[in-house]
Amino acid sequence: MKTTRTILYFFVGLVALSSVFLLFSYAYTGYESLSAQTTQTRLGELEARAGKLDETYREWQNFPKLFSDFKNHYLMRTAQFAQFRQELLTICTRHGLSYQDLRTDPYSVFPDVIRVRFSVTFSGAYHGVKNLLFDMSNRPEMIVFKRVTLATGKNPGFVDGSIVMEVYFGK
Amino acid sequence: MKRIRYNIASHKKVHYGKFVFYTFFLVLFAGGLIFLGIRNLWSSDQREALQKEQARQDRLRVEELTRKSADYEEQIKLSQKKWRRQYTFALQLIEAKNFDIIERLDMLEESLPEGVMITHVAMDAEKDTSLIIQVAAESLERLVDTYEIFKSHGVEVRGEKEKEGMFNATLYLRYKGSSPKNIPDAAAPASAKKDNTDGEASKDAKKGKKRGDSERELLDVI
Repeated sequence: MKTTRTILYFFVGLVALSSVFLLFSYAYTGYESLSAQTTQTRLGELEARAGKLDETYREWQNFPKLFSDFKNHYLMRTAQFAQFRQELLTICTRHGLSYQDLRTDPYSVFPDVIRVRFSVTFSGAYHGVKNLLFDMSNRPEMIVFKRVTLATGKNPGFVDGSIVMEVYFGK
Repeated sequence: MKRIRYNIASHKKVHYGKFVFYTFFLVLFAGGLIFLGIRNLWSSDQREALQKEQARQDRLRVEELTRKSADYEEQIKLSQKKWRRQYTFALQLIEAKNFDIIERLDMLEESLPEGVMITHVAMDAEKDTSLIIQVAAESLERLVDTYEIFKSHGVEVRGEKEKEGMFNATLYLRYKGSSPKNIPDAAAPASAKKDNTDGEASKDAKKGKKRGDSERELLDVI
């Protein structure tokens, strides 16, 4: 009887041990696949980051050309300065504005970019002023308004005004 | 006469048939479990061999990507250092070009109630998007109407006085424009130069314009 009980216990123990072994085998393979998955995830993240950096890098590499295009398209040539000044006065006259003062103040922003601040004081009809502002702001070149002041003029129906605008010239 | 049964054995009787059956079942069960475990590990070994190769390649790729990323970061930093000023300059210029004076004047014209006139307007693009206007109204009610109208622009009254029957006030408006003005397309500067002699048509003329390629590309860099 004792022998048979011992034999039975032995086999029950064997079943328990084999269960543990099976569990271990599954845990081991599970860990391995998890580890492989983690590496894959990390790789994916790194690839995404590298891709983004590559894109940014290319954009920065392209920037000098982009900046050069920007200057070519939107900045007037320095040689056009006198022509632009004359054009401004012509536009004022065309819109019935009598200018009293035109001042220019140049400043070198970069070795090849000059900013000229134009200050114009004028008098005329309101719609004339508005047309002048429209003509100037509608030009493709970089003409930037900094200050505009309009006040009821001394002559009836007229406004006295002053405009400060910056024009950028590239060499 | 009833027969009396005596059990004088020292141990319980063992049913060997049952014992062999249970033992066989346990052995079979344990064997099955061990078989499954070994098979699992075996297939895992085969997978492992493949995965090892994959992992080796992944490691190399990770190293390459890490090195590449570091190189890119270095290059980007250098480019940013070199071109930051030009980049900021271009963006600020585009931003400044978007300051729409005509739109502000249109807004004032459209908003002003009857019996109120503007005597002075000042706009300063350098000092945010504010507008300073001086108005003269026929009556106090009209002046109050004007305050109400400009409420949406955060009107701030900075002085009010009555002179020669007119009610004058200085108003500070924080202009909240509708949409930014677009820069004409560099590829078609001629079409952008619309020969317009009427300022009233300005709003419509500007709405259809495309933003310049350079600006788009510059903004993409951000």
